[in-house]
Amino acid sequence: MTGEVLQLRGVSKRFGGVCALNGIDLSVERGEIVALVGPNGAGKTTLFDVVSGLERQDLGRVLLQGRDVTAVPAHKRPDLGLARTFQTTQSFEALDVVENILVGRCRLHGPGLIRSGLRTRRVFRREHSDLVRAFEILELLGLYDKAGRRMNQISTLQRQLVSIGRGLAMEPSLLLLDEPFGGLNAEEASKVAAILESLSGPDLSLLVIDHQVDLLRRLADRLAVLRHGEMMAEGRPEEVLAREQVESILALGRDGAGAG
Amino acid sequence: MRVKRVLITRLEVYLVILAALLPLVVSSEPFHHVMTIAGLYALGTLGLAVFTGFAGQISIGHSAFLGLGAYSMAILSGTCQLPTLAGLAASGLVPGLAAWGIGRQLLKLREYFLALATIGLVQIFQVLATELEGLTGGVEGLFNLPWLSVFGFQLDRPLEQVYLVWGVVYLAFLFGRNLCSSGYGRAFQVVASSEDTARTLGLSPEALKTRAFVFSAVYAGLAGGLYACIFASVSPEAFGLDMSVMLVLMLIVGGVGSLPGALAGSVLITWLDIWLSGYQQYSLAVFGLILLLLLIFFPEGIFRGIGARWIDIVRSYAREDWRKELRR
Repeated sequence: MTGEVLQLRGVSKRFGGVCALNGIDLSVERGEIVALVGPNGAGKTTLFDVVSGLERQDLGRVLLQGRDVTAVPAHKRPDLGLARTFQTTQSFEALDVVENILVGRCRLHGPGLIRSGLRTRRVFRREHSDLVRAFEILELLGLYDKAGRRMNQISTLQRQLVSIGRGLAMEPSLLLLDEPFGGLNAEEASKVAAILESLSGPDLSLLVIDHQVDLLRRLADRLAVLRHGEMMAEGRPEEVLAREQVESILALGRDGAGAG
Repeated sequence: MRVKRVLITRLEVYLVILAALLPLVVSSEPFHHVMTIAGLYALGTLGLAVFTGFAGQISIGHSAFLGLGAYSMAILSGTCQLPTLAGLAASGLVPGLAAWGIGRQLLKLREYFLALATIGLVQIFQVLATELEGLTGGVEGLFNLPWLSVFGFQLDRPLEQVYLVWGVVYLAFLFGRNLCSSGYGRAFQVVASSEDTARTLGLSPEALKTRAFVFSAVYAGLAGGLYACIFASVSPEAFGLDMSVMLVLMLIVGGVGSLPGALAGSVLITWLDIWLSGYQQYSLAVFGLILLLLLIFFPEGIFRGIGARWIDIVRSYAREDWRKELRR
């Protein structure tokens, strides 16, 4: 068994005539933070969709924990330690903050419908331990006192943190973060970056998509640059960013992407 | 920080005791009878509250499950002369199995398409109930069905029936509330808001939607089974589209996604329907007007609208301990 949590080997994906991903090779080692950058439409989110199983690749293989997951449906992949967030922070407005975290633990519920309806001791213990864990996560993210708030009563920064927290609640070994700095100002973004840095460790690897290259440069162990579905460069952030070609891609990307 | 094992509050205990005394205080048989009917609707609406309010799926076809439950009861206890309790079990089981069988395919449809398809269920049920004459008695239906008897004790007086039905309703309410305040309830809500997100959270939308569907079909079926005992007859026309629409109405008026609301909505609409039937040709117009006003002034349903949100879904009081802790 290798130390790789995630491996993509020659992954390609087309949507009609558009080649969203073209022969992508990428790996994330245990405990690593890998950043994925590139202009809009480069295929970053498609790559996340393929890894999480919402889209199926046309060619190539995706391995989670060394296991080929091509035939594993999306909802089974979290069992292999995968969690992800979405670009537009998907939160559940009908639920409050702590419930938005608890949602990440729904899948861990074995008890079944009838037991849940009878609220057996087992179900109730589960609920209890889930709640304890959810509060631990909230504390970690500095949201402890926001637990009872509705999602529309908290700031964008807090929403981003909640969606990270929901991912953590799934107890993943690899967390895919789609634009965790989206909609945040520089100060807030660096706060999120600091939290991400503190979260990563031997048990948790991160694969991060964002446009804020300056933050990612400091945060990431490795940086991968995508353009038009192709891997343009990959390696240590300083080395990758030093390349002239990469600079022009990202400059283009930043113009095209605006603030987002 | 603690989660409560039993989710009943003191306020609820008082309310239940008051409600339980009501049939004794207002001891008129018509009142008991109307409340019994309201209870039957309440049971059906509770199932829908989970299916629609939590899992986010639409059904205008639940009268088919009510009918299926009623016919299961009628055939088993009437035609086959089996004990009525066996009939009642079957009236939950048969619709549940039917829903399980068709759920996965049916629930691939969404929104309007799902609504239309569920209307189809009612039509299919009507045709089967009318055409399988040997089994169902055709257009006439089945009648002279036995009263429900529990351990040799016959429940044939309106007062007994109102207690029986509302007893079942309250148990069903507790079960539904436990379910919805557990991880299941949250999983249903996730599926309702985005199926792709549900998948990435490790939840299978297909499996969850089917379960919610089966759950609601069992509730509707039990309501149908009780219906067969109380009216002592079943006929296809009783389980037509109007009944399905009534259930949806009660759900919306009570507040989609609120279990106590489902109960309140059922009682309110049942009474409204009965009061207004006195006005003959104008009744539908007035009924429509009142509904319109209710929906305009209480868009979230009467239950939440009236401001009783704090008795709503347990999640708030299941965790009241940490709330106290935070306040300190």
